[in-house]
Amino acid sequence: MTQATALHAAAVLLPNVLVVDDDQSTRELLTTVLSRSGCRVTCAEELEEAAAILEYRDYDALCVDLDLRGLSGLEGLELVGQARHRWPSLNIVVQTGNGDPDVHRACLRFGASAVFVKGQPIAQFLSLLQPPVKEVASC
Amino acid sequence: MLKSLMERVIEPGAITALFQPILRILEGEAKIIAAEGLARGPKGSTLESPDILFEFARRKNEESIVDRAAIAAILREARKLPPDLALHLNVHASTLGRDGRFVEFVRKTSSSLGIDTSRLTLEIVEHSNFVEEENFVAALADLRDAGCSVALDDVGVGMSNFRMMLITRPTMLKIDRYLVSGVARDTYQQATMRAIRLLADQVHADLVAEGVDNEEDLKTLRTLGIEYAQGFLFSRPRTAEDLVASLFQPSVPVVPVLPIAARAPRAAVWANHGGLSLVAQAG
Repeated sequence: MTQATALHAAAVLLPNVLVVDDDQSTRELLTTVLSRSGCRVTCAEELEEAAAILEYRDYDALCVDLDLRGLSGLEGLELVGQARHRWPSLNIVVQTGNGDPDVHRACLRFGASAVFVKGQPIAQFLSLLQPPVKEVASC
Repeated sequence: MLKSLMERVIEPGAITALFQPILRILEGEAKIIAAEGLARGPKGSTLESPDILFEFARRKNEESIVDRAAIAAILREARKLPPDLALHLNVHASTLGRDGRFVEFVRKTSSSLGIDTSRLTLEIVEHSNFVEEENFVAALADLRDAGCSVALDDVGVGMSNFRMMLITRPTMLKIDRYLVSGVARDTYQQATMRAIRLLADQVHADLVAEGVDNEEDLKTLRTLGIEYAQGFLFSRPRTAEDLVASLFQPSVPVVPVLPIAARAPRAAVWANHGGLSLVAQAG
């Protein structure tokens, strides 16, 4: 899928996205990219903030960075698990720098719809922001 | 070093205060008898929404620190309000149960700002099944000793249940909007309201209907004998300056009063001037 096509698909299918990332520059980058594609983007920098937002607002997709500062990754998976339990139809994309297939399988087991390995083309990330399909990018 | 989100939330000035009037609705024209202080998180952030702000605090197990920051911000702003207007403040039951210095904080903060604690009603909110019951009850006693009144918030939903009422022994029950909104057209809601009315009569508690947003519901609440109300029908939450400005406009009656036997006000916290005329309109 070309980047333009992916952008269009994201705009049509996923108007409302919650991004969880503790790195401000990453949040700004994703906000810019997703906004340009027509999505409405909300950013959270902490898992508890994201969980609080999800308690009161509806989203089509949740993008969670598994490598948050000071956390083991398990905490991120807990958010994924809670979000999946509470909102079965939510599209949950986990971002991680960890290429270990076992980690990716754990993400899917906790309820992630897809795993995006950092460093892959942004078009691939956008392609994952579509209706939940169990897949692991770059695996 | 980069400050954490929580550190930024509790920085002085990060939390701002708005006020929503509480009105006496039974007799004559509606009168403002108190203002509830409402906190808003840092402007432009997701935490500006109070629901998300306090949910964030609960998930961080930091209810106490955020309650304190909110109350400090509200009391600072409340100095702009009429000096005899009763003030309502929200506090988590878990804060009272776990923060052994909270009552002292309220006493010192209000004293330093020249606000008499007899003007304060602490509205107890809780979202979890907290366990520090003994400490909580002791803190409530300390609050009352300090001259504050105690209300139970969100009655009818969540943890504001009979158990919480028995523990808290409030002199005011604030009925959650879930039971209030649409009461005019729902006989089950009306029956629930009558039951709460009966309960309040038995324990000599005042009743406030929250989330009143239309005249139809207001009329029904009057026929059900609910004395006090707040909601968008009267006023959205507004700054202290806006609220004060509205108090000096000509008074506007809300709805013709129905022939109901007047109830004597029971709570001692109401402003002793008999209330301020309602001028706030929805919007």
